[in-house]
Amino acid sequence: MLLLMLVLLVSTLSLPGCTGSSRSLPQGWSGVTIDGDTLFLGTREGQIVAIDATDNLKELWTTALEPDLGGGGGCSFTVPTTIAIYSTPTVWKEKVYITSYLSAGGKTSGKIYALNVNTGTIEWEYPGEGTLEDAFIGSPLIVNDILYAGGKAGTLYALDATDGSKLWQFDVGSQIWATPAISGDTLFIGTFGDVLYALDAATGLEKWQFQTGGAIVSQPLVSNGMIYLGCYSQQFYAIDAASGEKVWEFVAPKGFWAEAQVAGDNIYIPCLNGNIYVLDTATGNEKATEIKLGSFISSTPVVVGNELFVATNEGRIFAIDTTTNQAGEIKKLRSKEIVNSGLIGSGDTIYIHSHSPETLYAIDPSGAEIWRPLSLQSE
Amino acid sequence: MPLTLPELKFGDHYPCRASEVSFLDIGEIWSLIAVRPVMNILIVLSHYLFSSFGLAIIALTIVIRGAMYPLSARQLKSTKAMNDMQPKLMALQKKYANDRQKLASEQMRLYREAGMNPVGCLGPMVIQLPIWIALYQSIIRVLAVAPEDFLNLSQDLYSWAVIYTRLPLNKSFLWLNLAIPDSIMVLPILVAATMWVQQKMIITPASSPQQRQQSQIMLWMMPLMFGMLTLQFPSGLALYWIASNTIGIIMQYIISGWGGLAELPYLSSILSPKKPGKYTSTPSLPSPDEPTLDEGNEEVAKDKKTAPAKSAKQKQSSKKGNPRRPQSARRKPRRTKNQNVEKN
Repeated sequence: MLLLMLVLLVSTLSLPGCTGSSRSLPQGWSGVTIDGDTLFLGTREGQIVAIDATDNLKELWTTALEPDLGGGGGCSFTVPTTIAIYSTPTVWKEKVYITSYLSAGGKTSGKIYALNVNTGTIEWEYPGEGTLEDAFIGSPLIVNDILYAGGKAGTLYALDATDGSKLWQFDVGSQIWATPAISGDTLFIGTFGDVLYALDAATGLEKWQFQTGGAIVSQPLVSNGMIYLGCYSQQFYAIDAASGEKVWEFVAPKGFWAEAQVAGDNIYIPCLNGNIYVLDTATGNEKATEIKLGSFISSTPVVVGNELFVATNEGRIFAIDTTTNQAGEIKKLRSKEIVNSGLIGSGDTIYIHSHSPETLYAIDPSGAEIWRPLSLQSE
Repeated sequence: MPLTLPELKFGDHYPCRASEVSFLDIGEIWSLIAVRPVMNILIVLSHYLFSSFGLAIIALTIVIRGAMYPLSARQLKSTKAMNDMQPKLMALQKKYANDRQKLASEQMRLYREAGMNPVGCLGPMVIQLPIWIALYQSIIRVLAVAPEDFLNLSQDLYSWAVIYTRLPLNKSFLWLNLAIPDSIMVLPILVAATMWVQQKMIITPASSPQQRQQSQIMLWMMPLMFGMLTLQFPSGLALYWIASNTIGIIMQYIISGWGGLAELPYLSSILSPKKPGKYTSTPSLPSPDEPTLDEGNEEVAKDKKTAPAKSAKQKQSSKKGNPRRPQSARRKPRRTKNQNVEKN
């Protein structure tokens, strides 16, 4: 009887692993960046990869972002560190910038790196030694030689993009998962404390703040003097970029994760319930019946020509005609393959970075593969 | 020229094996009926309990254990009945040591006479187990340790506005970060200690050296195992275990007392104090209204004739003394020879 209890208890503890979902280990969902003919992306193995977009997706170089355990001699108990890359690389003046997410024993930390675009050599890293308390999920933004990046410990950093020296920092008091956005001399950053901040991009001084209904995960979309922003808590806002006043608000059954896209007078808003809502950018009125795609959307869509391409989490790729708002599925990835990172387009090519297994696709607007998919998993 | 979208076509994908599909479906069904309700209730509770997820875990544990009290009580009573029957079972094992068939039939007869089912405690435990699993999985999912967990959490949430306003949950509780293991080892010790106390209270007297060994293994191995596991799991889960064990100890005490815990030498005097008895009180002198010696003796003689025969215990107690009538008052004073001669 007692042995039976022991068996049942052990099965209790092992059962969560049998339900098919892997939880609690950060793995990353880095997107793809294009600079000329070169693609850059972060992998689930903590590497940044440069790929030739014109030569059958051939790898140019790979650099591993090693976790810095802080040195020190003598006997020490080291906890295995997991390194994940959630941010999408950013290219600026012959350098590619990326941030890392380190996890060890339940504690997280991170770093900011600048690599040479041609060789992959790390030119500087911030901090120089050790790591920050901030683990990074959002991508770095670079404007006017200033790099902006927000971390999970609640600090927004502004660094000199040439040498990595810190210019200023702004503490928001809650986690930062979103990538910043900029318009003119104003920097916008959303936080897990339900607040959208507008800061002076040069000095970090606060201009205004806007209280939303929930955590902000995605990058704000700045278009025509308006900021479009979705929250995890079912609300989507249009805010005046100059004053911080709400213009309109839209409420959905579930929250928002991916960034919206504007095409003409329409704004296409992907929702976690698997719908794309089509609203008028000025009034927030629904322009069309919501487009149902069947599974939740965490990947930011991309506009190529007059089509909007969007991937659902379970690997189905749709094209939406922005003139008629008609949608059609153009490609389905392999079973269990998921897409969390945003799509990116260049010319008539759409790049998709999928996970489980980690693969890079290059397809045309009809869904046909331009190059053979590139596997990014080491064997 | 209007854009014509191509006909639907599918990219390469591997067909799922039937076994994979059915297992995933079972996981989805389990999530739908068990895990998601508990998750959403936990989040709502934290909204009403000062935005504290720690309090929400404790509160829900109390609610669930309270709802399962009838089953738990049945299980504990069944265990207690098994304990009480141990001497008889041991006697049977001695008597029929060489005849296993006879032993089995006599044991079953004993169970029948006592109205017991030897596996009766298994039913309640089997029913409680899915609830424990659901609560365990809910806590893990809601804590959303990795960013992927927080993303996937959205698929388990109901469309109640109060839920979304709570997320992400405040993972701080006392000194703890509920999403990571306790760094100062307090929770692992508490988990092991409460589990040990609970085990000690329910442990049955062993009828054989083998059973004694098994009992000792359960008494020490399970608490140690769970204590070690607590080092790896989020503190929120450890909090649930401590709350659940504490409630289990209270239930156990209500149903069957301290059990094996009272046998510990340093605790027995605290948990089972001796009652004061009449043997220890000081005998009092007779009051003026009480009968005199002679009268009392006559009455005693009458009582002896009419009163029912005393048991050995009563005789012994009367020899030791009646606190109402001291011994010296009942005895006739001895007369000396001179007193006897003078009378004559």
